[in-house]
Amino acid sequence: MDSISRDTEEKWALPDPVLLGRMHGVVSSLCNSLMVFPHRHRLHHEGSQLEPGKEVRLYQVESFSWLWGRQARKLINESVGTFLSLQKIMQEGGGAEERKPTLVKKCREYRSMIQASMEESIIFEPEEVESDLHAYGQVLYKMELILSLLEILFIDTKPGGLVLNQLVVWVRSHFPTNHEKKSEALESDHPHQHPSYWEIIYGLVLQGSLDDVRQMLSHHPRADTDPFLSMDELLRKMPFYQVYGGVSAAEFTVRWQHWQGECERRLEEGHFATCPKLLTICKILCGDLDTIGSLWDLTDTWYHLMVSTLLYTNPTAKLFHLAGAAQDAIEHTRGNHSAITPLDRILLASMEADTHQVIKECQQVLDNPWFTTHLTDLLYHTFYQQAEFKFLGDLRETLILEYSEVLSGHGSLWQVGVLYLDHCGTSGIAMAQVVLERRPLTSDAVAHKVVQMARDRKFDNVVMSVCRVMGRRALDLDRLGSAIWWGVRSRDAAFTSHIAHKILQRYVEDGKFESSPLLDQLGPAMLLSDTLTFLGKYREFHMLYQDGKYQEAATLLVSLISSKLAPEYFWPVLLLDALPLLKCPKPVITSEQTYELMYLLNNLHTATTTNTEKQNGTATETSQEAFLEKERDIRLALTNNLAKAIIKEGTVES
Amino acid sequence: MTGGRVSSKKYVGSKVNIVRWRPAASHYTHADTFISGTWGDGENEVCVWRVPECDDDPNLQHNLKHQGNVNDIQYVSRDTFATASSTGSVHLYQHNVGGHLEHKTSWKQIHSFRTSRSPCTGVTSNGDQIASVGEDGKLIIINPTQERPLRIMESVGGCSVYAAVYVRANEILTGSLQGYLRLWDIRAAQPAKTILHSIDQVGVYDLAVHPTQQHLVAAGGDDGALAIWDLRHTTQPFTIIAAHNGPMSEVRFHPGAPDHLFTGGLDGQLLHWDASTSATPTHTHITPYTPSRQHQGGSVTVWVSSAVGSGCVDTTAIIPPSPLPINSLDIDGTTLIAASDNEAIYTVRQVMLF
Amino acid sequence: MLVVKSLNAEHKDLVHDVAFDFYGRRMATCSSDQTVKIWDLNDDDGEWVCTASWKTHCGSVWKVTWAHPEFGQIIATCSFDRTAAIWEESVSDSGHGVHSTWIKRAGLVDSRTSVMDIEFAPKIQGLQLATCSAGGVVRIYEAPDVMNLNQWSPHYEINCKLQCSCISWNPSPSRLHAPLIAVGSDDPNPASGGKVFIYEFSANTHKWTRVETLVTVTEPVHDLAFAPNLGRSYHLLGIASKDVRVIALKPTKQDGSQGQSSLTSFEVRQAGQFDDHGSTVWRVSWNLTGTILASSGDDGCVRLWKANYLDIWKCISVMRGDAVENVGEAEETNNSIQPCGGTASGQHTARYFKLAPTAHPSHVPWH
Repeated sequence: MDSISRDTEEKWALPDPVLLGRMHGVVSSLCNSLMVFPHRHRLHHEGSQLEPGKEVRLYQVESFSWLWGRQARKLINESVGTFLSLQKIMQEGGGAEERKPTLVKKCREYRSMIQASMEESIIFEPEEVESDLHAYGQVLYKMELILSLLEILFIDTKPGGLVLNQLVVWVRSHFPTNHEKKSEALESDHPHQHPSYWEIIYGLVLQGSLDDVRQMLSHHPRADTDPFLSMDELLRKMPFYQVYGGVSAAEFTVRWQHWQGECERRLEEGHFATCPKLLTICKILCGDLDTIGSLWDLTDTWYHLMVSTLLYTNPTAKLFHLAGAAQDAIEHTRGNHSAITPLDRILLASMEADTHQVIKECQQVLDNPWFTTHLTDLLYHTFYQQAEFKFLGDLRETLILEYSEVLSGHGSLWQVGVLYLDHCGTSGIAMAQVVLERRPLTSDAVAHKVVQMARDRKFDNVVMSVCRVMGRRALDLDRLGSAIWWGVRSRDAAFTSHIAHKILQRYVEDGKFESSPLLDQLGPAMLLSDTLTFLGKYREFHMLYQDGKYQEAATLLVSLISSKLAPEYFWPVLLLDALPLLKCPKPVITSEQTYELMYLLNNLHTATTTNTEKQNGTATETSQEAFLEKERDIRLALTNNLAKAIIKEGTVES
Repeated sequence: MTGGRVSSKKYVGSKVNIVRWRPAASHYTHADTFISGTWGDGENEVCVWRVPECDDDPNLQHNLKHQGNVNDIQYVSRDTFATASSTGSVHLYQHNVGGHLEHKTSWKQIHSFRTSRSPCTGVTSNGDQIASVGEDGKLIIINPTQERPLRIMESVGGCSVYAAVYVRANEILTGSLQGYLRLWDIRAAQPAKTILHSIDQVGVYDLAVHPTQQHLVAAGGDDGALAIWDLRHTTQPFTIIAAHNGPMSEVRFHPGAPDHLFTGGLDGQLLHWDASTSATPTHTHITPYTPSRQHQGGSVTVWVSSAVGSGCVDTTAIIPPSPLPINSLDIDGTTLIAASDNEAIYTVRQVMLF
Repeated sequence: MLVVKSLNAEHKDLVHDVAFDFYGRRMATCSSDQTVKIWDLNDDDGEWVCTASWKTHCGSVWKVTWAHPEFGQIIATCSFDRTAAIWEESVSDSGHGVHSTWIKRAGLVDSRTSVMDIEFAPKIQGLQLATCSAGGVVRIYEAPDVMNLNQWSPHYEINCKLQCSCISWNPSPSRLHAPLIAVGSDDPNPASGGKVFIYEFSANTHKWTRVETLVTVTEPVHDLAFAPNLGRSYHLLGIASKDVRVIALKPTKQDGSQGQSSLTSFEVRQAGQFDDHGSTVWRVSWNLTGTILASSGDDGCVRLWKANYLDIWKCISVMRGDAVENVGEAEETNNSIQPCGGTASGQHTARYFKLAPTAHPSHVPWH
C-alpha cells in the first residue's frame, strides 16, 4: 500500500451487503493486492448462510500509485541511471572532497529530471483530467523546491557555511513573478505606468535583484532627480559576499556595515523625504523589520520572507541561524496566513537541519516513495560515516526496499525494481530473488529476461526454478522439444528423466522420435539422468545403423542392453532392433554379445508373461503383444547368429 | 571508421521491444522516420517517430494501440508493415498521408498451442508474402491480400521458433530455441534441410541475411555469440565469435555497408562489428544467389575471410551499457536507433563514416 | 490511493478461503457450498474469469492451497467431511473450445475429524503437504515421485493433544534452516496452556519434534502465518487470537552441517500485540515480502500492519466493510445475471471504484 509509512492509519470504507459487511482478508502477490470478502467463522451449518438474493462478492484492493502515470515513468527510468552511477562512484570510495562534486552533480541531475517532467506535464496530455495533472505538477514542484533547498543546506555546502547567497538564488528561481512582471513592464511604452510598478520594484529589492531595480527606476520620469540618483548609488554600492571572491567574511562584514550605515545616514538626512516609495526601499536596505514585514504579501511565503529579511539583516547567515529566522518568519506570517502546511513543515525541518524529520515529513506529504528514496540515498552518501547520521543507513535500505516493492508490483517496471535491490544489502538480494522468481512467465521472452537477470546475479536457484516451470509448462502442452531444452537447463534429473520416458514411450507407441535433432546433440547434458543418457545413446545407435555402420551399431546396442540403462518397457524394442543385425549375412554380433541378448530375452519372457497376467499399462501392452509374436523369430535369429559367430570367431583364432 | 558519434536517449514511458526504420523514399535519401512497438504494459502500442535533421530527439508523430506485446515488425512495402503479437496474431498497418498509422487487417491468433495462445515471435517478408513464426514452432505464410494464411508448416518436436528470414524469394531460414537453423523451401512439401547451430543447443534469437551475399547469414545466440553461416557449407558455422554476456536480441547488417554489423543484447550492450579494418575482402566465387541490387561491396565480402574465421573482428560499444536489455536496433545511413527495457529509445548519429 | 475491483464469487454460500497461485495470476475460492472455483486473470482486460467450478467435498470446504508451479497446476483442499484432496488440472480442447478440468489425484482420508487447514511445504522440501484436524492431529503427506501425483504416502503424524485450527510452514527459502511448522489451536480453555506449537523436522532422525510452545498465547488461536523471510536472522509469526500478535523466533543455536541431530532452540520475542480490533481476530496473512501483515476481526475491519525501519510495528491502514442494504450498485448487480468475472451490467463493466479515505491522517509525532 502506498501509505506504508504513515504515523496514523488511513481508514477506508468498503460497501457490501452481506453479513453486515464483516470482512476478512488475504494478501497476495508482489503488488500487495489484497483480497477481501465477507465471512463468518466456520461453524458448520446445514443449508446456506447466505440470505436469498444476496451474492458473495470478493473485493480486490490494490494500491494505485502516482508513479504509474506516463510522466512519472520517465522519471523512474531516467533516475535509475543516475542512482546506479551514484552508487558506483560512491563504492569506488574517495574522500569527502572527492565525493561532494559527484553528489552535487547527481542532485542536480535529479532536479533537472523533475523540472523536465514538470515542463512536459504542462505541455502534454491534454486528455488527462485537469485536476490530476495539476496535482501531479504540484507534487513535482514541491519535490524540486525541497531538493534544491536541501542541496544548498547539506550537499553543496560552501566554505564557512554561508548559505544566504544560494538561498537568494533559490528564492528567485522559485518566485519568478517579479522578473516576469519586470520584463512585461519594460516592454510597455511607459514602464512606470504599469499598475504594479512599485510592487515589482519592492519585490525585486526583496529578492536582492538590485540591478533589475535600478533598471526599473531608470525608467521613472524623475530618474534624474536627486532622490533617485541617491538611491541608484546605494543600490549600486551594496556589497555581495562572494565565497571565492578573495574577501574574508570579516572584511565583508565591515564593508556591509559601512554601506548600511550610509543607507541609514541618507535616510536620516531625508534624501528620500520627497519620495515615500524610495523611502520604503531605503528602509528595506537598512534592514527595517517593520517595513520588510509590512511587505510580506509580496513574498508569498514565510521562507521567502525569511530570506529577504536575512538579506538585509544578516548577510553572513549560516545554517544554524536559519532555525530562528524561520521561526520568526512563520510567526510573522501566521497571523495573516492559514495553518502551517505539510510543505512548510518539511522546509522548516530542513532549516532546522533535522534530516530525520525531513525524510519523515516527505514520506507523509509527497505520497510517493520515489522522492524519499532518492533523497535519503543522497543524504546517506553525503553524511557517510558521520555517527549522528547512522540511522540513514537503515532508513535508506528500508526505503529502497519499499520503492522497489512498488516498482515490482507494476507489470512493466519490475526490472527497474531489481536494479535498486542490487544496492540494498542482504534483504535486497533476498527480495530480488522473490521478484524474479515470481514474475509471471507469460512468454519465452519474459523467461529469458528473468533468467538473464538471475544469472547475472548468480541466483542459481531462481534460474533453475524458472527453467523447471517453463519445462513443466511445455510438457503440459506436449511440447517435448521445448520441455527437454528447459529441463536440461534446470539440471533437474527427475524432470528430464520423466520427459525422456515420455519420448521413449511415445516411440514404443508409434516408432517416431520427436525433436530428434535435439536428442542427437545432447552432448554433456546427456549425463543429467540415466534415462536421458539412454535416450541419447539410443539415438546414436539409430544414426550408426542408418549410416550402415552395423558393427558399431551392434556393439552400442549390446552395451545399452547389458548396461541396464534401458527402462524395462523398452527391452522388447531393443531386441527387435537387434533382429536385423542378427540377420546380417556377415555376423556383427559376437557370441559373447549373443549370450547377453539371450539372457535378456529370457528375463523379458518371464517378465512379460507375468505382466500380461497383471494387465497393466495399455501403451506397453500392445508392444508386448507384438513382441510375443516376434519372440520365436528372435530366438531363431539368436541361435543362427550364435552359430555363425562361433564359427567366425573360431576361424579367426585358427 | 567510427566518427564523432552523437547519441541521445529519449525516455518514452513504456518498454520498447522493437524499432524499425521506414524505408527511405528513394535510394538517394536516408530514412527519417521509424516505428516502434512496446511490450509488457497493460496497453501496448505502435508509434511513428520522426527524426529531425538536427541533433534533436525523435518526435512522436502518431501512435496506435496494439493488442499484445509487439514482438517484431517487418516492412512489406514502404507504406505497409506487419507486426508480430504476443497474442499469436499478425497485424498489418499502413502509413497514411500526414504521418498517421492505420490498422489494415489482422490474422488473429494464427499461432497457438493445443490449449492456449502462443506468442508470435517474428515476421519477415519478401515484399509479396509475409512469413511468421511463433513459440508454437509453426511457420506461417501469409498473402497480405488474403484473409486466410496460405500455408502453415510445422516442424515436429514441439519447440519455440524465434527468428525467420527470407534468404531467397521462396526460401526461409528459421532459428529455434533448440539452436538449429532450418531452411524451408516453401514450394516443397518438406523443409529442404536442417542445419545445426551448435552442439550445446544454443538457442537462436535472431537472424540477419547479408544484404548482397544472401548465402551469408548472421545468427545471434542465447550465449551471446555471433555465428556467421555460409549456407553453401552447412555442416557448421563459418565462425562463432563471443561478444555479449547474455542472449543476443538482435543482429543487423548495415544495408549499404555490409562489412559492418550491429548487435544488441539482453546484457544491455549495443555493439558495432567492423570487419572491414581487420580483414581483407575475399571474392566469393560461387554466386547462386544473385543479389537484386548491388551496393558497394558487390560480390566481395570480408565476412568469410580467414581473419573473421579466426574471430578477428573489431567490436566497439556504441553506447555505455544500459542496465537493462537492449531489445532492438536498426540502422540506416549513419543513424542507428535502438530500444531498451529502460523505456528509452537511443538515437546514435554518425555511428560510422559512410 | 487504493483502487478496488469487485467480482461476484458466484458461490451459493459463504466463501471460506481465497488462495492465489505462485504468480498471483490464478485464484482458487472455496465455500460452504462444497465447491471450489478456479479463476484466471485475463491478460487483455485484467478481469478474473472463472475457468472451473466443481464439487470437491461432501461438506464445507475450509481451505484451498496451491502447490509450487514447478510441480504443475495442483491444488489441495480440506473439508468438514474429514477429508483432504489433491487436484491436478488437465486442459483439453474438445473442438468447441478449451476446457479445464481438475482431476482428483488423491483423497486423504486418515482424519476422523474435520480437516481444518492444509498447506503445501516450501518447494525446497519437495512435494509435501501438511494438514491439521479438529481432533488435534497434524499429518504430513509426501508424493515421493513428484511426477506421479497418484501416490501420496503419509509421511508423519503428530498428535498435538489440543484441537487444531491452523497450520503454517516456515516459507524461508534458506537451506540453513530446518523445516518448521507452526500449529495453532482454538481450544477455548485458557487453562490448557499455550496454543501455538512449533515443530521442527530433523533430517537426521527423520522426525518432527516440538521445539517450542508459545506460552504467552493462551487464548484460542484462529489463524497463524509465518512471514516470508527476506534476509532476516529471525522468523516472524503472525497470530490471530483475541488480538493480533507478531512473534519473532530467533534461532539461538545454528545446527548447520555439523549439527548432529541437534534441534534448534529459539529466542521468542513478542514484536507486537495489538487489540485494535477490540474483538476476536479471525485471519492473518502476509504479503509476499513479509513486510505487511493483514488481519481481520469481529469488528468487521481489515487492518494492515507494518514495521518501520526501527522494527516497530504499527497499523497503517484500516478497511471497514460497510453494511449496505441493497442500494445503488449492490442492487444493480443483484438484478443482473452475471457471467464469470462480474463483467456485465452495462456501464459498470470494470467495476472499479476508488476508495475515499474516511479520515485523513492527522499529524502526530513520529516517536
